[in-house]
Amino acid sequence: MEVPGKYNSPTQFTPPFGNAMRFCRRVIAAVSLPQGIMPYGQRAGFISETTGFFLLGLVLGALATVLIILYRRGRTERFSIDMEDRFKDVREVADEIITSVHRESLRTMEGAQKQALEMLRTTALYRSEAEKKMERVLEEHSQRESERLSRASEEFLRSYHLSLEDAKKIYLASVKKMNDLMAEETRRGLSEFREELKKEIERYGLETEEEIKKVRGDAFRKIEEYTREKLKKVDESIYQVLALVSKEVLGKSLSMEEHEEVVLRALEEAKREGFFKF
Amino acid sequence: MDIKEIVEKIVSSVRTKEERDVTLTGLRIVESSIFQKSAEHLSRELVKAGVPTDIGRRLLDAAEGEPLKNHVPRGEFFKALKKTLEELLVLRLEISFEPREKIMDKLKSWAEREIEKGIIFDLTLDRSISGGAKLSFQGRYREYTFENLISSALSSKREEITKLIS
Repeated sequence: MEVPGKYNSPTQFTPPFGNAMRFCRRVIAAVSLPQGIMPYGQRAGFISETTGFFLLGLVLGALATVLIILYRRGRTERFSIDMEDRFKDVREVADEIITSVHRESLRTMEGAQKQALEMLRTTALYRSEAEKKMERVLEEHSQRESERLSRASEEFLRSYHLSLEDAKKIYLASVKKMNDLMAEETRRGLSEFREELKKEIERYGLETEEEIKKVRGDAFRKIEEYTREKLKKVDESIYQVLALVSKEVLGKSLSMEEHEEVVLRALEEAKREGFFKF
Repeated sequence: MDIKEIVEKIVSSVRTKEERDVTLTGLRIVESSIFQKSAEHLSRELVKAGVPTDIGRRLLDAAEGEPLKNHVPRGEFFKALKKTLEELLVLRLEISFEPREKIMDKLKSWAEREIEKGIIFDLTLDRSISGGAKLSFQGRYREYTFENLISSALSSKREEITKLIS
């Protein structure tokens, strides 16, 4: 909302006494030349609004003074006629003032416009020159900088290449050294491993041989024992079979008398062996 | 004939332990009833007791027969007979066959001939023996069986047999 007498926005000033001021502004605008555009986008007229108001104020002040003077000179009946005449005079004076003010303002405006144009031209000139100068400076600067950058990048590249070469040499040297060390280590390790393996194989061979001998010995021993056991069992079995067969055969083949005879022989044998000794 | 001869005669007919037991039983019967019962009655009792006929007859003869009738006191006779019977030694024989009378006579003859003291036999049948006998006498024991004979023979001929079968 516009507040009279206050800046309602950065670019807008709402003067007091709104309608009167608007009328005055219109008057000033009517007597002003078209506005131009100053450099940097400022709103430009041949006179500023303040000057316009000042001039208007001056005019009104003069008018008021005249009226007061006329009023003070006489308060008579002829005041009205005088006044009319005076008003006519005043009007004429005011017209003259207004015309002179108009002429003055025109002159001022022309001057201001000329000044503005000059300023514009100068500014444009300055701007053109500044731009040219700026362009030149920029160009020179750009060229210097590009030369500098070019030199710097060449230098950097050279340094980089040198560093790279150095690094490559160092790296290659390190790699070679490492390879040599690894090769040496591997050779040594392999040699040691070979030796150890040889020893281990020998040891294992001896142990295995011992073990085989032992196992063989145990096996032979067990086989012998087994064979002996089995032969013994076979013998026993054979004797048992013989005994059984003989017993069966003898028992069944003898007559009663022969059995009785065997008993008597047993008694004889017992007597011979001292079975009946007291 | 004195007591000794009569007793020997009676004892000589006792071959086995079983016969000795029945003889002693018969003796007891005769000793206890000799003056109370007749000979016939005693004879029947002896038979009833299982005393063999010949032993029974001998007992009765000995109790009432001439030798005793004349000089020998019966008490002494019974005592002597009992003592002699009880002193007989027992030879236990386990054999593989049922003994016949013949073998028992043979055994008794052999014992009287070969062994000084009086021996009677306790014969037992043992079917596990295929031949020969097992002897037990006075705490001693021997086997004279076919098994032993064969085992001994096999042992003594082992090497020869091993050679034969290998």
